[in-house]
Amino acid sequence: MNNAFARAPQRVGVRPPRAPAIYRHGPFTVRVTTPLRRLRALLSWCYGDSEPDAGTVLVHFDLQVRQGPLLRRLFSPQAIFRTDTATPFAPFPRSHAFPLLEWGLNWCVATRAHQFLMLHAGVLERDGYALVLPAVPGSGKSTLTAALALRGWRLLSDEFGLLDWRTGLLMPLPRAIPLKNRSIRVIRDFAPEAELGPVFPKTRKGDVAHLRPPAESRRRQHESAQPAWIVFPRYVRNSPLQLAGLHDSTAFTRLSQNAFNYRLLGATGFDALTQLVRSCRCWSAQFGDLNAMITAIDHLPVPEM
Amino acid sequence: MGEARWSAVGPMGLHWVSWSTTDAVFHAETGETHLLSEMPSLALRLLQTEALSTEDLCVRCAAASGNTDDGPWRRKMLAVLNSLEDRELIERCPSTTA
Repeated sequence: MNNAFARAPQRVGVRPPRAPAIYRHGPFTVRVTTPLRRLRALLSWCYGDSEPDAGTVLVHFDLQVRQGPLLRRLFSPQAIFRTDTATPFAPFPRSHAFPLLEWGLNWCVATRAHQFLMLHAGVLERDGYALVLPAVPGSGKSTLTAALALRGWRLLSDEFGLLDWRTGLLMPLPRAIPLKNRSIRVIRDFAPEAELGPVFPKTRKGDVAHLRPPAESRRRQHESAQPAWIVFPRYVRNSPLQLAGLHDSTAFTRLSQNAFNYRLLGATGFDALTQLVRSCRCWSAQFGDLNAMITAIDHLPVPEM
Repeated sequence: MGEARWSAVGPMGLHWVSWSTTDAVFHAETGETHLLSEMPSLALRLLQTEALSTEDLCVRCAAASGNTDDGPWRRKMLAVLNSLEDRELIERCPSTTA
C-alpha cells in the first residue's frame, strides 16, 4: 500500500484535542476546530504543525468539523462541516471528514474571497512565471497539476487561480491536490515517490486520495508569480498531443466563463481578465499521454519581458 | 414620426478591449460582457460619444470603415442596430416632437 500518511509518524496530541488550530494557506488564515482525531492527524500530515490559537490572529475562515448526533455516532457516524455562518453541505460519513473539510474550504474561498478574481484553474510557477491551467471538471487538470508539481514546477494551487487585480500577480494557495478515481493510479505510476494520503472510497466524487503539497510550495506560499502562460488542458484517452495557440479573444471568453466571480466583480473583473490575457500567451491542449503533455509545457516559450 | 435616433445605454459604463478582429465590451449597466465584431463595435463606439440618427450613423460608419453607403449597407446597419438594441447596449432616444 502506498499511503504516505500511514507511514508518517502521527503527531496528534500536542495540544488539547478539541483546541482550535490555525493554518496559513497563502493569503488566508483558517481556524479549524474539530474533535476528530484522525482529521487532525491528516491536517498535520498534510500542512504541518498548526499554530496555537492565541486569539490574536485575524482569521478569514472559521471552520468546524463536528460529529453527528449521538445516535449516529453509534450507527453510521457522521462528520458535519460548519463555517461561522453556515452549514453548506449535508453530513458526510465521518471517515470522509478530510475531503469534507477540503471541499468546505474550497466553498468558503469561492464564495467569499472576492478580493481576487478567482479562476477555476491549476496554477504552477517556474523561474518566477506562472502557468495557468483553467479547466472544467473531468479535464485532467488536477492530474496534470500534480504531475507538474512532481516534476519541479512550484505548486501555487490545484483549484484556484487567485489573481490580485491590483498587482496582476497570482497568489499561491498550496493545498492538498485531490486525485480522483483513475488519477490516483496514474500519479502513483508516474511518481512512486509521490506522497499520497489514504484513499477515501465512494465519496461524492468517487474514490479520492490527496497528494500532499510539496514542502517547497508550502514554504513559499506567500510568493506571488507573474502570469505568463495559459493552457486550457483536456485529457482524452489515447489522444495524441495537440497544442494549438488560442486567439486572445477566445482565451478571454473562456476565462470569463471559467472564473468563479467574474460577473460579481463587474468592471474590475473585466479589467483584470483583460490584463491577464494581455500578459500571457494562450493555448488549448488535448492530450492522452501525461509525459508528452509535460514535455510540451516544459518547452513553452520563455516570456519576453 | 421622424427618423429614429440612437444612443448608448450608460455610455460612461462601457469598458473596451480590442483585439485584431474582435472587441470585447463590458457594460456596467447590465453587468454583461459582449464580444463585438467590427461593425457593431464601430456603431457602439460612435453612439458612446453622441446620439445619432440612423441616417447619420450609416453615413459615418460607412466612411469610417471604407464602405459604400448604399442599400445593402443600410440593411446591414439596421440589423446591427437591432442586435445592439436587443442586447440593451443602445436605445432609441425619446422623440422631442409631439
